[in-house]
Amino acid sequence: MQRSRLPSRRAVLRAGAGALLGGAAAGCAFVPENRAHHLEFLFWGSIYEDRGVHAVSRAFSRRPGRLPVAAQVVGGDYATKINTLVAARQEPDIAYLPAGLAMRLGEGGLLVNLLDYRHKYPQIDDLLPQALHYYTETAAVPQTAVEVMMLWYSTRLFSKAGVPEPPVDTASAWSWDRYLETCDRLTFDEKGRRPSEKGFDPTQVRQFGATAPTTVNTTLYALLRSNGADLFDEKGTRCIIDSDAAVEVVSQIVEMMYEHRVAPSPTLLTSMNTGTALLLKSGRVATTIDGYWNLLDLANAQFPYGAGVLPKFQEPMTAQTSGITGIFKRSQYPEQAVEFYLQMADPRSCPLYKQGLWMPLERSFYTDPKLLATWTDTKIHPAGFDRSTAQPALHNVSPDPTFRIRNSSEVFAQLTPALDPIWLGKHRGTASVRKALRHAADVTTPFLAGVYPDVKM
Amino acid sequence: MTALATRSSRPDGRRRPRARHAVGGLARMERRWGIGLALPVVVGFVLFTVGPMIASFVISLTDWTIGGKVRWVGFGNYRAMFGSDDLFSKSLGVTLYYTLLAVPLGLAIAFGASLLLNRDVRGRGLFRVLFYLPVLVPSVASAVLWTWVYNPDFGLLNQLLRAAHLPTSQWIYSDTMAIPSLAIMSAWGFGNATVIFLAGLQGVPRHLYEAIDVDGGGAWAKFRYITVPMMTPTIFYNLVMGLIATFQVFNEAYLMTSGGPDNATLFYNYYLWRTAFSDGRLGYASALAWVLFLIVVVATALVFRSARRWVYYETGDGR
Repeated sequence: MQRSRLPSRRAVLRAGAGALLGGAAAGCAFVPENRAHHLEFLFWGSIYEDRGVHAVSRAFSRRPGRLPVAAQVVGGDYATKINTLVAARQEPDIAYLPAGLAMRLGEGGLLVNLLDYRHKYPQIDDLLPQALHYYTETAAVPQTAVEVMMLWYSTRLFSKAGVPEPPVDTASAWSWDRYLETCDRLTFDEKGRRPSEKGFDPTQVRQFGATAPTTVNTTLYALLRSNGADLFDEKGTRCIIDSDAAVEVVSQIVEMMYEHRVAPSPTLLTSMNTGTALLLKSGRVATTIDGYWNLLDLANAQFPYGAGVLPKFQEPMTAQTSGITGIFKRSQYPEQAVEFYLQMADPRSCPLYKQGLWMPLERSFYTDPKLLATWTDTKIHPAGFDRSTAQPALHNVSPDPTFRIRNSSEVFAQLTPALDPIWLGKHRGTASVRKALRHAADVTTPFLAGVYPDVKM
Repeated sequence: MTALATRSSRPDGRRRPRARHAVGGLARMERRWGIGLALPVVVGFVLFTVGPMIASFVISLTDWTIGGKVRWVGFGNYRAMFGSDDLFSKSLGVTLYYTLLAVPLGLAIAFGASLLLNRDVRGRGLFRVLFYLPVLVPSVASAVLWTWVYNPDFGLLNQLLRAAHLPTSQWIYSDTMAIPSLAIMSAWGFGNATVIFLAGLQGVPRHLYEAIDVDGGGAWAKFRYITVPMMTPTIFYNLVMGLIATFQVFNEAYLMTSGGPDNATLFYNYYLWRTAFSDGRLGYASALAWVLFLIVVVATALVFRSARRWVYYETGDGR
């Protein structure tokens, strides 16, 4: 009879070690190739954006010699998805990228330098300077679109209260005090009393005049810049949100919620918030400072709305932001990806500009009346839109600091939660707010690691 | 001649006894089937658990940031963690605080509920179902629900407190109340531990209670001297499971608080995830993961060690 034996201990150990090393190698080095004959495009966005992107990708693919575009909208946590794909060397040909990640990947040599194509596509030279972000002195990535902050409002609530609507010219922008005064006239409790009237019940507010502009890199940033303040110093090595000018702005926003009582607290807003369009349409809020992209939802909500310039502290100012559209160097078709991007960036071929989601990247679409009309001459753009939004986008704009600051993901992960107690009303009065802002600056500064060249205005 | 026979030959020509190695046909078949059936699990474990663990340890010795160049830094990440990373100590402190609140609270409520459900009362089956139902609510839905419960303006808890003319709280929006609030929320899902406690309670011999009755002891004596000692193995099991689960808590921070306010709910796992997939620092995040693994191992070992002093096994050393 054939005999067999158990494997020796040494053989078992050898086999085990081999399997472990194999497993480890699999964990470290499994890099499948993905080079199908198409352009892979990853992006985030609503169902409307999805439709718009697919309209452009279909039109692009129909042109002779162009590849099909596999456009895939990613729901949920986009940053995790794209980070994972890059770590696994499975990045798409072209993708939307969050600001900080785009600058990091550009510097790491993973992204195509758009400026390398300016000789072939002259429209690149027409891009607004604040829409091109330099990760080195000579290499830059472009924004997906332009988005500026503006003052949205419900015209019905203004006329009902007999209050003049916000100005559309930066020259006549409301002062912050005037804005608060207007908000007071637009805030009512259940019995119709205003905050400045005796007996006002702050626990039973039917309609607020405003929402508090507390988003650090956009709405708050616009007001900080309006008062000559900033989040970080020039070299990007120190957080200066505890400057006198910043303390004044932040204190005013805190007072807006807890003293003037014309804006809901963040926790109350959380329970009301179904998006800017529905907040205004439902009559819960009369005005709100938010991005241009809301126009798409406002247009679909079917109610009368308007847009004005932001209130000012010293100078009229707005903030501008957007994601980046990055083309990966590992793409086998970088030139086609650049062409696809430029087609997305053209308001004549992409419907998302007319629909109110994006503002153009090229200067001529703001300065040439005919081109300006291609995206603003619509039923959805409010009266005076050119002056209230398009012109400030050229002349009164501060770019989102997220692009400029190195290590921005970690920096804002420190700064944003450090401001939470302030917005929650734990710090009232200038001295207390100053102390809290000093704490925020202290916890943020150690994470600052300098700046990228960024925008060349 | 088989290789075995060749190897086992001695210079004097005699053979070693082979009984230890030789197996019969049935045993051989059983062994082949055993190895065959176990192989998928073993291969899966090696490829998808042990392999990535080793890989992550190697990665933890580098400064790999997604999109950047990889440099070998040895134990630099670990030194930075213990030397200069305030968020590491903050997240560890937050997680320990949560563990210290959530585990005893969850055990106490689950044990209390199981004692009630073990009594012979009308509608006992219905109560058991009701108490278990929260376990079936997906954690995301549960988080959304509790976000509303804790809303300081409209939330159920503050409405009740206002109705009773008691002071209200900011709950998860307060840096001091956020962790206790989340611990209370975690106790809501006590059904799993309750079922295990119930099973344990039904294994407590009746004659021991009868002995207390004979001795003239009351309900407290039964609980103190019979129920609790006999239930210590079950308490021990639930304690270990609770510890491991709370060290890995993530959903609450991700869905409800984003680690705020002011990093008050920056759980270790949330910090780890943020480091890896928001900041893209895979090297450092891998080091964080390894430290968490070691902390869980040490904590579990300490609990096991302490078990000798307080866990009673009826069958002696029957662990």
